[in-house]
Amino acid sequence: MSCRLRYGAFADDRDLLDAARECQEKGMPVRDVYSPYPIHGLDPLLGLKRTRLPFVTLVAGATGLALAFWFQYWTSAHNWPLNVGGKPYDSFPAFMPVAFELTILFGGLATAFFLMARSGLFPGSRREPVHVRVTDDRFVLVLEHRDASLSVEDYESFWHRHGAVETWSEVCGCNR
Amino acid sequence: MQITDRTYTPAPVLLRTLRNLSLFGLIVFVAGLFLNHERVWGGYLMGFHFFTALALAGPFFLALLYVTGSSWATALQRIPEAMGKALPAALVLGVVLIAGLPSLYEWSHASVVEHDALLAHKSPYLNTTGFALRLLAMFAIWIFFSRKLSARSLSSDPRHGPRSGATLKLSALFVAVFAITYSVANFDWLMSMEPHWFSTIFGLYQLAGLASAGCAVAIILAIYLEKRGPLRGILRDDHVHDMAKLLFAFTLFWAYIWYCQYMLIWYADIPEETSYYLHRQEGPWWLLVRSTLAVKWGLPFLALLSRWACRNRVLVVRVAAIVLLGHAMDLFAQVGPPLMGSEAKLGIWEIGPVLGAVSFFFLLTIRNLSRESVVPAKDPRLAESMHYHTS
Repeated sequence: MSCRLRYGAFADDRDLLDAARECQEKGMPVRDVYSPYPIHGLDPLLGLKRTRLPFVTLVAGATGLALAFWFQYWTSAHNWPLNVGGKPYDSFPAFMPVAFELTILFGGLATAFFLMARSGLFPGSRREPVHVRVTDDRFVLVLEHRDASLSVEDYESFWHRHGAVETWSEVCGCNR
Repeated sequence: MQITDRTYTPAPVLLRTLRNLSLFGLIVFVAGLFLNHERVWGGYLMGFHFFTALALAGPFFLALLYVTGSSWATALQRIPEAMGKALPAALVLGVVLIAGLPSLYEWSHASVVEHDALLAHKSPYLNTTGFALRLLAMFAIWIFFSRKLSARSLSSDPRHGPRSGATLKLSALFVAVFAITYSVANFDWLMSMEPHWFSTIFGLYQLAGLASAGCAVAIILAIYLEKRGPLRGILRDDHVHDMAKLLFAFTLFWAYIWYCQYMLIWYADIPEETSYYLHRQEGPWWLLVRSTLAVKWGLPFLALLSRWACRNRVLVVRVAAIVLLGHAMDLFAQVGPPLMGSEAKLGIWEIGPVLGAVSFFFLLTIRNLSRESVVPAKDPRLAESMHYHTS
């Protein structure tokens, strides 16, 4: 089955939002959207599910918290007890700041690494932006043209109607 | 969508209940003056402090919205405006408080100051006249700014409207002035109950308490106004979500500041600083302090961690009510020990004035809300606020 990717670049995110809305209404498959910033209201139009990334943060943060308490207890009360200002070896209030910091460190780093790994961004991966200005002021909508009942002209009028400033297309690569 | 003015008529049964509860507080206070004035003044101080904090949260939130250029909350802006209009009543409560100084503060007794070198040293600042003058000055500043700020959203003059540079400057000035004046006020009202003790973070601690309690009240009022009609179709899930996030952040910040103060004093272990926690870390007070942390931080933290919870109005309102309870417990844990020593006593003399003051605050705020359109229809930021999305 033939498949082409149809690209449309917009100068205004509201135009892209209107175009995406029409795609949803008419059942035209959208492959992806590239935007310099998150566009409010786009997620439901693309049928995106909520990210499960917060669970990674929660689990990693809890791990950091537990690890910090255990390690401080082990060093200061078990392995090498030191008398600091006459306070008990196992001084919970003193462990708190380090535990707090380690919770944030574990949560933050794990979230960042997990996000990059999940999006295929790791050292050595080569990624070309879909459009040179997509990190600046262009919004790109990528459609999958599989439906034989839709012609090239249909897509051209679609882009024109929604005010796309640039359009191009290419043959579908392997499904990502 | 064209939005027109929406008026709000409070339910008579609500007004009656609030009025009766306020009267109850007043009667308990007056009766207490004759029967048990030592304890009723403690309760009165808590009630006055709670009331003032809620009223001040109004202009504080308003100024924050202007300073940050926020348009998301424009549809709800009448709520902090109405809260700020309770400030003159707080001034009246404050003037009455001056009569209770001898029952609350040891520095107000000349005989005590005479035999106490430290209090004698502090007496040029810490005396009855100074207390009264500072109280009046603070309220004058707060009422001035509160009036100016709430006039901004009603102004149709673009030079003084909500988005003008003049409004931005006024708000930024208020935020700075407020941080200093509220600290100074709390050094007088609460910290001087134990005049040998001091904490430089005390003002910030009170500010964190004010922000969390004020946010809780704003949430309760917003969801109530939606249920009653005027905000129906205007209050979005996104608004509830953001206010719940703010409540989460403020209560977390409050616990953070609590811990900062506690840990530094615990670590340094200097007698003049630890005196504050000496009573509080024993017996019923320690139980109260730990329960306060659980109620004002632990519960909201766990309850509002998830996204769906922050969008669930019933849950958010309940958490907000719990935060208000936690704020009252926090006040009791601060005011109680210097007055009662190691023995914690909780009864009608404490509950009456606090309940009365909070009810009186809600009564005034609800009345103020019914005076003008609940939706600021003329505000140019309203459309943005009504199409607000958050994720």
